[in-house]
Amino acid sequence: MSQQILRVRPTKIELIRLKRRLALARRIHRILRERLTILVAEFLNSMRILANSRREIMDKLASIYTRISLLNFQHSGDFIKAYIESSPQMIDVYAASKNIMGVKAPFIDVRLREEYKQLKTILSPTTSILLESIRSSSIDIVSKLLDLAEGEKTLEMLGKEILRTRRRVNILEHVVIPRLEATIKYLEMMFDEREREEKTRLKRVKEILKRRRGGE
Amino acid sequence: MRYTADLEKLSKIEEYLEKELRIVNKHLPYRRVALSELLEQEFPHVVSRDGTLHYFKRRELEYLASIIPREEWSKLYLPIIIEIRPELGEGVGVIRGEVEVKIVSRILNININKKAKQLIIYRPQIMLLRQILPTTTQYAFYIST
Repeated sequence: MSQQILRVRPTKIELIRLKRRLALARRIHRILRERLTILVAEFLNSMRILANSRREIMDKLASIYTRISLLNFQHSGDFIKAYIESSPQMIDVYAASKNIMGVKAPFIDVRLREEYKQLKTILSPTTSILLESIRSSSIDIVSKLLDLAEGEKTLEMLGKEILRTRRRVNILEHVVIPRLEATIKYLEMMFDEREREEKTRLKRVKEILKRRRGGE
Repeated sequence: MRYTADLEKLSKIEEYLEKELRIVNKHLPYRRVALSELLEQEFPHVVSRDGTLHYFKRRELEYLASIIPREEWSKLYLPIIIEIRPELGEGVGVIRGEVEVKIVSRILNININKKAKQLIIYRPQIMLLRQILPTTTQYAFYIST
């Protein structure tokens, strides 16, 4: 099917046009293929980073859960609740967009607030250390989770773009370029054939004329 | 009539694909912005040719600021463009600009001439660079005529 010849007027002008079209199609194909290669590489790269990030988050969560259980042994629920409620907001999350080769991916920026750095508690030294370690770990986890969310959405969007680009590359590779090549080849063969026919006809006419002249 | 049907179909596909060629570099910024200027902004960003905003991660900007001397902050224009040139081979990128070349060579640990204004990097290096600077680098496709 891909070798199907296009129905075009068998003229030299059409042949020139088709050759121009073939050059353009090859150019687009080269660029789209390069784009596809980069998109796939970006996709794989992001996937590798995300897998590591996910593993890291799971480890950190396991560690923080142990510390939270320890905290529950040391303090009452009310105390922990009061502590959490009295804590100021420690991070700011900004959501925007970033552009990866035309793919509009989400962009999440996590920034630590000044209050977090200046925060002082009235707890005993040992409790403070435990609470402080849980708090700093949880901030770290939240920021990593947001990075993970950003990465996963980016991955999804890159995947869609890869499919879209691959379809275009395939159209060019398996339909447009082979058809143009086949049509150009067909037209060239047709013109060659016409030329040969013309030559033979002229030879024949020459022979007839020669024979006629001889007969006279 | 028979002749035109096929050609019309083909030209529609070509038009569609040509559009791809036109939009392939639409994500590039109208104007690149100096690192010094970006560091002063609360939400550092550039405007892309398609009208969207491309934001930079502050930690990336701070990282870049930490690896070059202060006097070069105003000479480094972001995003750093990785020029993809299919005619040089598959997966080949070109970095232009003295400060840009200096930074990329330092990140990728490549020995270069101090005054080099162009650096050719290959796919694994491009991927490493993108991993370190995901928002402060962008691809551009070089379309030869």
